[in-house]
Amino acid sequence: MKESEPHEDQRYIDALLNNDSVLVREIYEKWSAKVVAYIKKNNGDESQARDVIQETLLVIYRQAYEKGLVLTCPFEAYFFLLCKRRWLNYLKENHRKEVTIDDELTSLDIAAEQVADSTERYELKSKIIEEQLNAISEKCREIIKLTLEIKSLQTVAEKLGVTYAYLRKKKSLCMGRLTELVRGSNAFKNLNDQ
Amino acid sequence: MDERDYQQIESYLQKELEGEELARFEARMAADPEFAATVETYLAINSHLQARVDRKEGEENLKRTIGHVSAGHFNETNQKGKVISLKSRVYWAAAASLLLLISFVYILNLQSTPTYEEYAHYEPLTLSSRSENEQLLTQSAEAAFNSGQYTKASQHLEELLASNPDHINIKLYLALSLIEIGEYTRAEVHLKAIEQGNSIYAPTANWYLALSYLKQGDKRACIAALKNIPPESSKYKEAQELLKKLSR
Repeated sequence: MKESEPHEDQRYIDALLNNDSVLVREIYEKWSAKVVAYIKKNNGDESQARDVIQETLLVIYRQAYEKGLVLTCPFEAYFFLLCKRRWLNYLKENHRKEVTIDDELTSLDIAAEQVADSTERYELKSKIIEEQLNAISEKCREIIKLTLEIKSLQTVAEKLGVTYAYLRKKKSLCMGRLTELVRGSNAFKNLNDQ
Repeated sequence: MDERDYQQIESYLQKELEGEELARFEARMAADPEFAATVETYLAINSHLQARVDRKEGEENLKRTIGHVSAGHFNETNQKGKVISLKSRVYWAAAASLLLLISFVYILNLQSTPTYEEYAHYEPLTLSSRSENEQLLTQSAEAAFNSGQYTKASQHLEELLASNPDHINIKLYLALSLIEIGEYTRAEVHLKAIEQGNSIYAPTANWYLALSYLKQGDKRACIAALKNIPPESSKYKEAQELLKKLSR
């Protein structure tokens, strides 16, 4: 996707990265009504729609921050598709399978599908990592967190009162444990099989 | 993978591997898919957690912005909604009490009933020049609509809409063509989509919905659609006039 030219609506992605409230407002004015109407039509209410919109915008921001999201389609198509899928996932998770969805979930816009897929995969991967992070020991979490916050291992070692060599080894083992857990999780395997 | 493997991966991540060591590491990655996949996941986890730490402040700020905008936006639209619903309750009460009177006067005064033709005056269709291969189609659509050949116009516009699904003007004029040829249900689908999709065009969509109902003789639905047109809309004056006539 790196070679593709970004769509002019890339500015909305940049707006999220730059915390540009004028454009964020524009997103709400232009497209939130459509999301609210869709969710209301499909067993939800306005406050649920508000949450879906908010979460969707934050996921887009996170992906853009970490991976440099390139939008190759209109923002509306991409954003609406993500909101729709998020709502459907919510209904599924809450065991409301009996509800009928008043729309097909595929979009005719292939570019929008692709960008939305990449965002969904990003979110899923993040979720797996966060989950497994909770499965490692408290001490490991602390070491990983500190080494990422304070980028110098030397400073962290001094702070913790251990040697540089010890800390370095400990960090790599904690990360190794986390790597094993992530790779061993079913969700991660499913994701890579797709 | 054992302890030494992970320490090596960490060294690779910190860019501490050089020369022969680096070459050996890369050769192993190329030859051993299991090792390569582990390295990849290790690096991905590191980059994810690093990004999470680095964007912490930015994310908090954005969350606040979104929270403010969301609260402001939804309060506004809800207040508008409340005003309208209050107004419409008054209107309905008035309409109900007038109904008896009207039905009586109506019989005596049939001729004053407003008609669709009185109100259905459209701006000529002009679409901004689209992609080259659509130019011909665009011109045909304009020519057909502006000369009143609505069946033809609806076919061309339908075709244009397929490749420009978000183009409001195409959708709007397609709906108008469909009303003209009596395809009300199909017209209403497009108008309702516009009404729900974009606040700026919602009043216009309501106006044409009202005209569609007027043409079908559905006075109740017509009045309801007219009442959705807010004072700031360019159609407000006409809408009020039509409302007055309808409740006369």
